[in-house]
Amino acid sequence: MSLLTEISEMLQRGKAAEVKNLVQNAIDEGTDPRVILEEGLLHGMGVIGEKFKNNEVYVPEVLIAARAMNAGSEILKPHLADAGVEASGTVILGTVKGDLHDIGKNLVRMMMEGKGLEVIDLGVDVPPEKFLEAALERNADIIACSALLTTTMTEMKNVIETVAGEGQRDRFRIMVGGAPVTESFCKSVGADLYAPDASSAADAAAALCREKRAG
Amino acid sequence: MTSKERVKAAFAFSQPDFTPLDYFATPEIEQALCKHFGVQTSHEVRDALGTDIRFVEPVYKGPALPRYEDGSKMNIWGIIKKPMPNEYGDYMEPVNFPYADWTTIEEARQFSWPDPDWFEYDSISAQCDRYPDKAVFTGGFSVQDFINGVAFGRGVEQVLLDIALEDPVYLHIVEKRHRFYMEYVERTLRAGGGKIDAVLCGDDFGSQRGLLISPQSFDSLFAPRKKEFFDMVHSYGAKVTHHCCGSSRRLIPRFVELGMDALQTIQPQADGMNPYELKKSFLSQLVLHGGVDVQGWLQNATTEQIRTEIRSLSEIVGKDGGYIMSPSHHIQPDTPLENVLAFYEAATEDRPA
Repeated sequence: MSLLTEISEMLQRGKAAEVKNLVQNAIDEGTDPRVILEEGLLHGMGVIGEKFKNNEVYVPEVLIAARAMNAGSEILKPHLADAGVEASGTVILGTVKGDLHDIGKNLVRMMMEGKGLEVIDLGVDVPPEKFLEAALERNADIIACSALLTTTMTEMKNVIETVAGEGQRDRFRIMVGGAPVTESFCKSVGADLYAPDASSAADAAAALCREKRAG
Repeated sequence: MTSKERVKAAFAFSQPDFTPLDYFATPEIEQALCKHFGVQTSHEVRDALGTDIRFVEPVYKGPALPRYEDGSKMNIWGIIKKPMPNEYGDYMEPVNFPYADWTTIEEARQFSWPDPDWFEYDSISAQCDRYPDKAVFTGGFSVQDFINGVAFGRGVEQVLLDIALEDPVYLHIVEKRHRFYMEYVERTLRAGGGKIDAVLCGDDFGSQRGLLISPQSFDSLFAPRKKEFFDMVHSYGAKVTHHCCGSSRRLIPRFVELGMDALQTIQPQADGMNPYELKKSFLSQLVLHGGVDVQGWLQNATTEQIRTEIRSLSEIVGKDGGYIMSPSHHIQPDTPLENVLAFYEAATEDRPA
């Protein structure tokens, strides 16, 4: 088994310490850090994402896989920076004002990072202005809002209105998600994209960033 | 039929005269109903709505539980929840996470865990006697509640990691909850002297689109504790209704095997949880307790749509018993009062006044 395959497989099994060691070995052997990232870490996270979408693995397994990916990323980061590798897009992510539920949002972050995106996680109970402020500051591609409650998902509309109110609506794509959120809700508040699960959200975000950056 | 007979018929999969009716609501909705009916208590609201089930519970006499000026309060598990305001009211959320930093069982052992002696059970029999014709239930969503109940003290993400790693600290806390509720509920049932018809307990195993944890995790960590609890409840001649949010479809055959009598919530928008379809698939195996969608539907439907759906649930899902009609979770504060009333009026319209 090649080192890269082994990194991917250990990541899928959530073995953080092993992934960390294997990434170090790959670096020591002189493997291009971009290749370690794409064919090792992101490959493993991609497999987990697909299995999650198909109900073959569940949230706990995704969490330990993401933890293993982070362990590997920590080692790899300085080498990626040296090689001039940049994230393929930047996402501002948060749970909307009045809502403290974050497991769905955190899964979205892990899956997006697993697609090579940079995610700025603003946490929970995030007021609309903070989403916009962070998006402007980081020159983000996407603003992604999460909610669990029917009583807080209406805050997503306020995020969109705040962004539009400052004349910035065309600059950012806005994604919405969470248990009570649906495609028709997404349309009704004027968001750009809804995804039913974290893995699909990450796929969609990666595609949006590619399109946006291509032209 | 009395309400008690009606609920018993539903549990026995035999046709009741009318589909039995239950109620769960957030404080905001309950206050609106109290005001509307000119009454003070939850029991009176249930009387006014015409529901068939009343809850009894032991009286707390343990150490004073702290309350704070911002509306926060501590529960018996040492967890402080604070009201988080939203457009329609507020939602109580945990803020202190007392179990979050524990890495050894020793730290968990030293915590001040609740004791079943903190409750007084003598009044249970008299509480039951207040509702001789009603079905009497005890318990609640937090009885057992091995995932959420611990997550409130340790963080959701940590608990899900704990489940993947079968973390010993987590399992110690789970066992603490299990032993507490085994004793607490058994003492309540004993004090009820056969007058308690069912126990509500719970655990959230579902997300909107599937299971939250793997069937293997369910089998190894939770199934034995569910079985022990269900067996204890049955030994007192009572039934079990188990709350479970989201899509638990893939676990239902296991639930039935473990002796769960009824599954509570039945959220129609969660994958595989359509009550009509569940009725067909699990006929006479599992009582469905819930099914009236509060995840946006009850908020937005017209009163005519509500009447039509309530009649349809009652006729189709309620056929040959096996159904207790109820909101699929607490009725949320963004629901117009007229929609809540339309639901309960339609559910009781054929009953004699």
